[in-house]
Amino acid sequence: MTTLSVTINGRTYGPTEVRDALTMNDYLREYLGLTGTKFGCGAAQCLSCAVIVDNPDGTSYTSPTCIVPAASFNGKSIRTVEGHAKNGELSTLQKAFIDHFAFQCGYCTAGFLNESQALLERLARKRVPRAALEKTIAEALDGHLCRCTGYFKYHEAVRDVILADPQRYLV
Amino acid sequence: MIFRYGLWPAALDLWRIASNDPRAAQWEAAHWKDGQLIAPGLTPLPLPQIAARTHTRNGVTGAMAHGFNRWAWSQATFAIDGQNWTADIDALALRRGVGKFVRLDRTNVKFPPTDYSRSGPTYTAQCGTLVRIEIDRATGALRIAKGYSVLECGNALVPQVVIGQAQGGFAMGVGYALLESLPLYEDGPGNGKWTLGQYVVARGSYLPLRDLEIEMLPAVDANERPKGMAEVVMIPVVAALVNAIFDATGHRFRALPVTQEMIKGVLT
Amino acid sequence: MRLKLRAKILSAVAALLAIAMTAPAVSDEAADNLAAPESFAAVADTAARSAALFTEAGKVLTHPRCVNCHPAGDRPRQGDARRLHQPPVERGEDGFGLPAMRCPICHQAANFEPAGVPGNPGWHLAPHEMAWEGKTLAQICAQIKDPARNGGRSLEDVVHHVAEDHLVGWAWAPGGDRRPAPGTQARAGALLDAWVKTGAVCPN
Repeated sequence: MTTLSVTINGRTYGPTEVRDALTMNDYLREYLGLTGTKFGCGAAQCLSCAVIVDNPDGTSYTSPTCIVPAASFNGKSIRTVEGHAKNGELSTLQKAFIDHFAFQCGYCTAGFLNESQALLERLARKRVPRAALEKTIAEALDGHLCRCTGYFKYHEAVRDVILADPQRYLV
Repeated sequence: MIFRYGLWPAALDLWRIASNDPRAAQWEAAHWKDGQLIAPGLTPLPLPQIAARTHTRNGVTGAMAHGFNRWAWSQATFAIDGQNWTADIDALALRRGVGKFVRLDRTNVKFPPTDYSRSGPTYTAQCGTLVRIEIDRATGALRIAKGYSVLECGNALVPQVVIGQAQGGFAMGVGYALLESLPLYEDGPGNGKWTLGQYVVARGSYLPLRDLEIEMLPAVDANERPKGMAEVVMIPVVAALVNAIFDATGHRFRALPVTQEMIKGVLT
Repeated sequence: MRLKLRAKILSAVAALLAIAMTAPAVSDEAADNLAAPESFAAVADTAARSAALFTEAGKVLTHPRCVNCHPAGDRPRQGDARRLHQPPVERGEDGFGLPAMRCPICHQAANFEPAGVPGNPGWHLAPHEMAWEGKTLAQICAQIKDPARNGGRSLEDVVHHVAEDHLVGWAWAPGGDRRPAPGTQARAGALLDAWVKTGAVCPN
């Protein structure tokens, strides 16, 4: 058993005693009822389970939750899909996903949203040349599987968000 | 058809049974065993012998049928050798001996009422696909350079969703044709150990994300009803890819998926 | 009657003792898959013995648990079938992955059995220069001896790396239903140590 305290979307949960074998995905979905994060393949191959982890230095990365012990998130601060909208106002990316009809069944969407958001924040800290944009987006999103959309509109949505604010994201 | 109007009359010939003999109508009492036709009280006849006689007396040696189902089968009657024959099909063509197939006229065709379509399956929503591919001669690696699908679905209620469906269908066709494999038996997914590592589906980097055009043809008129738009957007993609591989390599693959190793294997 | 029964019991006990005394040989089976350096003493010619020792160590070097992360390209492989790692991860600039998918995010400090994911604190890809995938033992041998390609290591450093490195050691305790590398880390190190001491001769 391990003690787990974790900050999720700005709110601290725990300390809770959890068994060592508990995955973070089960903790989010079964213990906390935060079912926006999905369970897809259980092998970190589809990334519908991915959340954003925020480092103390202001950088962030995405992490699967299906194969990672909940205990390893102790003391960490994460964002799930439930945390993107503020006071009912959707984020820029969420609006772009809707405007572009980027998702269909929605099962992979939380993962794509978290990954795209982390990408935007990473680009804002270190911009890339316009010529490298498509490759940058592809590298960021390629870990995420989708069977409905073929990825086309997800990529368009992310690209259009970046191209709408080139000073922020592009060199 | 082939039995009733080809092999059976030939067998009767070989058994020297006249057409007015009661046994001539008892084709249902006959059965096949070990490649021979067995009928009560008659000598078993081997298939090659019956087939040869079918050919020499110009009996029916081939049949093509078309059926249609909308929660019930279509039905039609055909005149063959002076008799009427009704079956759950709506078109029939026969060949005699080594001749060409000839379509028979039908009478009394009945199609299931369109009311039966309550669950919504669509008929005749159409889709075609073109692809341009590049194959690396050294490795057999295939890159999809460009794709184009054209479809019609009557009046589209939400065109963006129809386009999205066609895009997803393209991706699914790519996976089906080039990547996805589900072998039988012990090494296949039935062993309970498969993940998406073995069942490989297409990822974004494998698709022409900026080079897929979907053209949705306008409805015939404002009154044309919407049609379902579902799996049809996947089907021609598979054929297009395998045909493109033939165009590039000269080799026709007849099983899926066509993997990089297989393509490399036919490159000289 | 009683005498016969006692004799039967005695012979049964003797049989059991015989089995018990041979049991340790059975439990050494794992180490027996990799021959000990001593078993090459019969090879009289020193150069031939050296090459033979390396060839035996080669069973470890070319095992999937090792080669999967010493790939020729930028992507690791998975499993005994050595298929490309899914999800598709890449080396990145430092061998620890691209920004969106860094190795340590999934491969944590230890094997996580509930998810079947292997782990080790140092999880990353070997650099390009240390790629073994698709190479012959002779080529791997030359590569391992070359300081320009082995990370500036002396031969003693190479032996130390194989014999003691923690990430290398994972190969013998991979978790899940992954087959461990043959033998033990100690024996693999001993083979390479003996190889160095006999002149570090490469096989053909």
